[in-house]
Amino acid sequence: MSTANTSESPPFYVSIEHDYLALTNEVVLAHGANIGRFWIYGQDALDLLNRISTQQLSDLKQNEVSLTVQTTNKGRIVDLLTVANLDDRLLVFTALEAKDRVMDLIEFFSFDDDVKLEDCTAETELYQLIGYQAPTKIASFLTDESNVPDINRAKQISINNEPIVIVRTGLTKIPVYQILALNSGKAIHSKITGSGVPFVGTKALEIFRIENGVPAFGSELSERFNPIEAGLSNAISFDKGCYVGQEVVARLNTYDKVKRQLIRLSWNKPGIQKGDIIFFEEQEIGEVTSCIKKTKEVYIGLGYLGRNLKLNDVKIGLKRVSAKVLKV
Amino acid sequence: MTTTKRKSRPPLTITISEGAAEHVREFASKAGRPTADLRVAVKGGGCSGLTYVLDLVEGPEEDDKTIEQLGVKLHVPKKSYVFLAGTMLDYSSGLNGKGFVFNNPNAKTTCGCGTSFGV
Repeated sequence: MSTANTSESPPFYVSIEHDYLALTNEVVLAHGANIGRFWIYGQDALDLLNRISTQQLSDLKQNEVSLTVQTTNKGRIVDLLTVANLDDRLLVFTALEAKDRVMDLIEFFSFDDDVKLEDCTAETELYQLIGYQAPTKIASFLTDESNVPDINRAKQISINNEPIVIVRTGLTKIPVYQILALNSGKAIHSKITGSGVPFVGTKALEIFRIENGVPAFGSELSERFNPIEAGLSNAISFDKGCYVGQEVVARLNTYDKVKRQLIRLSWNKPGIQKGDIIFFEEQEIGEVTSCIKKTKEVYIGLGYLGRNLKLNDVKIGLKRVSAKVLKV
Repeated sequence: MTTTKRKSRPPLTITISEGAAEHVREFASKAGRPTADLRVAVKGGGCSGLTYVLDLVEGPEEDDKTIEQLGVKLHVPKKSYVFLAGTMLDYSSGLNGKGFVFNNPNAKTTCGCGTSFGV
């Protein structure tokens, strides 16, 4: 098993508040230390991924990027994948913790297929450029604006003869670019460190993720949940035909059988943890899957709640802390 | 010391029914390839994870296992064989639809339309 060579980020640089303001108002850089990545080579790569995940990928064109969910045959989530078609190969991003399982499953489902997987997590360097000013900033890195990819597109370029892949995904309203240096990454590293863009710590990133309702592997994304309740309908094609888990996902959708929904939560007292039960009038109605302290007296989280419950106020945990329910 | 006699089990192979063999010959003949063999394989995909693949072929590929029964040569890729061992290939012409049917003891789940299975 390979390990990421990307640097671990600290919880914050200047302060959580400072990091958060730079992230939400300007532009920041983050190390992609928790993102696993691998290549899939071969003529059948796209067809195989199309057969074993939720999105219509068979017509993904060169330099197009798509989200897809790898599901079990029971329609449960293995992980959310970002797939970029680079023509001669596919680039796949997954959670670092999920990467080995994702790759093992693809290998398992590959029989006579012309497919070869290659883990590139350890050999590549990944940075994320995040913020409203990210499009302008990345254009200044790349000197030529035509090198900046649009939403759900990828570009392969060279900086000082070093190959780089830039992927722009559309999971949040704030622009996010994944910058993958294929070799040493020295050229892009010197551009980045010389740009004046500050790095962001893990705490502000987690606040940003939770506020934007982005589900994460190990919290909202696991084999306990299906992709519809995780709010990943934009990564599912409901008319593409069979894929692993399709029968269950289609049934949930067609017969309106989805029982839970992903929600955001906000409360004002400490002591709430991931896994705490959400109550309404002493009845268990859901659970907290992520939580973090945003400011001195504001805590935010994500959780799953019974789908047809239209509630604004709930209680959480043994202490029955009052919390507000917000839509994702 | 006591010894227990273990019941001998037939070797796990892939068998083909008379009806299925007849239809293989018929399809081969209609395709203008009367001497063609049948390649039986598995590929990833389908609601339950694995789907069956049948192809008329002129001979085995490298690493294929070949079984000859009722005048039909079945070529099975090595990796697929693990999931097909013990399968009886039959042909159904009943009211529920015509076609080849895989009676696969390894299939723990099958999808509604019966074209894919899970192990």
